[in-house]
Amino acid sequence: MKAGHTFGGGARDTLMRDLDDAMEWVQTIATGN
Amino acid sequence: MPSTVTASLAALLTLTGCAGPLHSKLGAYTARTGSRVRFAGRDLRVTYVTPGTPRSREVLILFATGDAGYWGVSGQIAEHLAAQRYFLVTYDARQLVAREEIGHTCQDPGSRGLVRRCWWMPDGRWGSPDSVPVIVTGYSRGTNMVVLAAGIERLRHHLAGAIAIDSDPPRRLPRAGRHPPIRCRRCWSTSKAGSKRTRRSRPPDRSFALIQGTEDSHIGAEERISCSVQTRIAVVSTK
Repeated sequence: MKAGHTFGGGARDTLMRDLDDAMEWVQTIATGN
Repeated sequence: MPSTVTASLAALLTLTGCAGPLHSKLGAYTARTGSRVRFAGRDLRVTYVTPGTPRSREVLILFATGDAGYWGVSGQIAEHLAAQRYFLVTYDARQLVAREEIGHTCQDPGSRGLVRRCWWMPDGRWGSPDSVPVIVTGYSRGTNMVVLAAGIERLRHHLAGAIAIDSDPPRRLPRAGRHPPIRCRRCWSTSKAGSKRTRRSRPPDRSFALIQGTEDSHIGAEERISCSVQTRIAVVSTK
């Protein structure tokens, strides 16, 4: 992804889903649950 | 001033406005951008996003943009995090990290002070450094802050974890210089179809996720929209 690159559809959805997964995982590790 | 020039300026201002920091979304979140402050030798503007209905009061997200500021992917990520009802602090990474190549022994560009600044809004205190941990995250150039912050020993008890989002191979990410090395603990890849492969060595003591595009270090625009973009997440520990 180049600087300023906009993307949509499946690519954006995949990234946002991975980001949500990572957020959940990080918080799970942090809280020890 | 000729009308054509006026129209062009108006269009330009509209475009640059779209590429600026987040703006409040009625009923969803309130975004406030403070005035410029001198920080780590640079002028810095930080945007604070307060969710209407917080998802959690136990974590703050610090997000640093990529090379194009809030234009493109970075803007989409910032909006997504705000829409997910996180307390969010965000800034344009170009304000702190210059365009020069980051070497293997790059110095801390103020990551420690920046993270500590998260808890302060322009008009008052937002939280307590000891009680509200921060998840540092950034895209492209913003990953410099993520990696450096994750490697600073004194910040450890302030951080809940770190997430770096990049399209470059891992070797392109900067090392934390004098700070402890960051080693991979777990890697997996996810395809658009949702298949996932996981390889895990041992549970990490501190979470660090890397979301990364596979193959080409600079994913082309249109071709990647239509095809199955794969991302790779590497979970590494700072120990």
